[in-house]
Amino acid sequence: MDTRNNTKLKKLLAVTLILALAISVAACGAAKPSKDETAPNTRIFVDSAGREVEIPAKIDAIAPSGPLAQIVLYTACPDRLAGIAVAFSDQAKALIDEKYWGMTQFGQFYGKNASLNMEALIAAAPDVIVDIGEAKDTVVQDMDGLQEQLNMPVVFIEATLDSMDEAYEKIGELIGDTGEADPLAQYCREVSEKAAKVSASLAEEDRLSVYEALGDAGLNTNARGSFHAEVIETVGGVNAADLEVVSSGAGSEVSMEQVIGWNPDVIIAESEEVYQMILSDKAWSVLDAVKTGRVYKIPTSPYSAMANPPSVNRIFGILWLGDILYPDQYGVDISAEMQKFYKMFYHVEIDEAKAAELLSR
Amino acid sequence: MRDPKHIKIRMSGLAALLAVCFFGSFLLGKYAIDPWTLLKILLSRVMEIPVDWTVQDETVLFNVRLPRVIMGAVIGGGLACAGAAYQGIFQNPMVSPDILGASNGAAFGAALGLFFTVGYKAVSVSAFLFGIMAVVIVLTISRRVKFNVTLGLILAGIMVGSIFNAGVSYLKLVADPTDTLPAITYWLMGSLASIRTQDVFFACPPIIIGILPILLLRWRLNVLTMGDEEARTMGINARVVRTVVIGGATLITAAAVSVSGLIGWVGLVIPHFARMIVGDDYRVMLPASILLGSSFLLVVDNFARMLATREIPIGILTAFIGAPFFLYLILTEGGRQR
Repeated sequence: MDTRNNTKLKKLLAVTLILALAISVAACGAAKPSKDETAPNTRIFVDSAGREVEIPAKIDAIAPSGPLAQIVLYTACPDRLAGIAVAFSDQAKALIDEKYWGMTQFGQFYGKNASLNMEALIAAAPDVIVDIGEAKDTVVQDMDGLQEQLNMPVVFIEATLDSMDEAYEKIGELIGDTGEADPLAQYCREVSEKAAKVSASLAEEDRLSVYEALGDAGLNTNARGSFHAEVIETVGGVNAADLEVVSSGAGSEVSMEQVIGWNPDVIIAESEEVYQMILSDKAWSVLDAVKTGRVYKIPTSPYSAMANPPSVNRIFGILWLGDILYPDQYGVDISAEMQKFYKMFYHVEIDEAKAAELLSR
Repeated sequence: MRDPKHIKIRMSGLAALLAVCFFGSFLLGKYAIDPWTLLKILLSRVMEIPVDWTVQDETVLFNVRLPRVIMGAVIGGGLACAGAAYQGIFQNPMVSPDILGASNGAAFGAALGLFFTVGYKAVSVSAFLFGIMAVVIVLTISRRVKFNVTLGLILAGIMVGSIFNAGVSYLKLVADPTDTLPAITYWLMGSLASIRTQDVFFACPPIIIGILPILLLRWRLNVLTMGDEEARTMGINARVVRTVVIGGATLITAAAVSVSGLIGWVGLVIPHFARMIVGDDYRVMLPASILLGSSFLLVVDNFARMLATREIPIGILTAFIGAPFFLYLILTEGGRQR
């Protein structure tokens, strides 16, 4: 009885497995459906990874592949977003129009096992999917893989702190409308050039050291040389946190003793709590920066001016930190500049009082 | 011992459940395809049918949903099979397929691959090899333990597992927080969201090859649960059986983790569930575990892609469902024994 039972089970299992495999083999062997009817309405776009991608002639709906792409696309062409990767944070919501909050969230693409919901993405039917960020070694492979699986054009646009202008130009080329993106590219270029000029003109002894106080106790920081502290070096400052082991992000924990040893000229704090704590705590009061009143709160709405996330928000960060460290060389009216930047990039009008509030002045 | 006829009916029920879950999963997703269109698209592969569906329909079905459903069924069945086999050879109902460090090793291999951005395929290969390597190290160490073989294996497994765990933590610490760190984090949560056809071809063969010897040896597992001495009196070399089962389960676990990340609880809970339905006899319990494991993971994966427009990592869902269920089992089983 038992043996017969087992044979039957084996058969059942075998049938299920074979069926499953047969379908998959059939699916893989099948040719891609022809797309001939859409052929005349497409053009070739060369992305930052050098891939030639066939995209629709007219781009009306763009899906970001992750939070970095989401910010840049929001600044460049908010009304072309087909959805968002992640929900806007409360700090972002404070300044970003409500109509963007409830957009479909697709999740993020990181090559593999990410939170990207492919079906939701296909259902939203974007004309193109855009990934923006630093080029990884596997970028071509990643983009091609996703494009093949989704059967939709996927393009990569490189954006680092130095190449923000080129990223905007590329977006203008992608959407076939440079009117919106070119002024943004121009702005980024001017800021970068100004920072490079000031930084080059500074004598070594004039460079101020900056400590970035992150985390709940202000004892997490982005170490010298880390990608997240780039703004400090770009404006011509020196990152006080000279650590042997550089962990990316706010992962570098330091001790109060190290901070006292570095004795930075300027301290910038990410949260209001840490900012107040540094001003009032006894241990911090021994630092020159606290004694001379050179402690500042980083503007963090809608996005931090320093690094979180490392995107176009840092362009404003260059002006903000530059104005703090070398006001004469940078020569900007930071309140006016903030209003201009927020209007151009975040599409929000802020008055002087609001700017002062965001700058904690 | 339960009535064989009874068991036969129950096994047919489980097989039918799997068939329903398997085909039902094709119908579910954020991209709506009506069942009739779906059937036509599927049939269009084998016969001529006028095309009245969109390219998107076909893309979703063949590039996104099909690989995912197949992989879910195979991984679920594989993990449950490995878990059931381990619970037998270690004579311990609390054992899951990652007891010998295969998952931790594979997780480290994947994290290492993601850290050095070696590419989609290479990450899977690296995970698979490190998963196997972890178990080989465990087996080598445990051979030197003379007093208690299973205890030696379990202790070595915990040790090696935690070393690889520490390695993963270190990689997460030094990884770039904008893309590498979330990539590793999401990977470890476990997901079938990005399964591609190539993953199916990569992971299915080792999983099936791993399941086969365990299925063939399932009668001996019954004997092994009574202990090595008893097995010897019945003419069974416990050591050989154990090694073969460990080899099979390691292939399954390493291959599953290498494409889907860490999906916990399936290997631990499903065998208990199977025992409740068909009894303790490994000859039926093992196939029942496989059928149930497949169905379970398919159902949970449907939730993973349906609950929100962004994916919920399936490893989180299996824990949410698996842990309370396991607690329930402990409480009710405890009551019954008293």
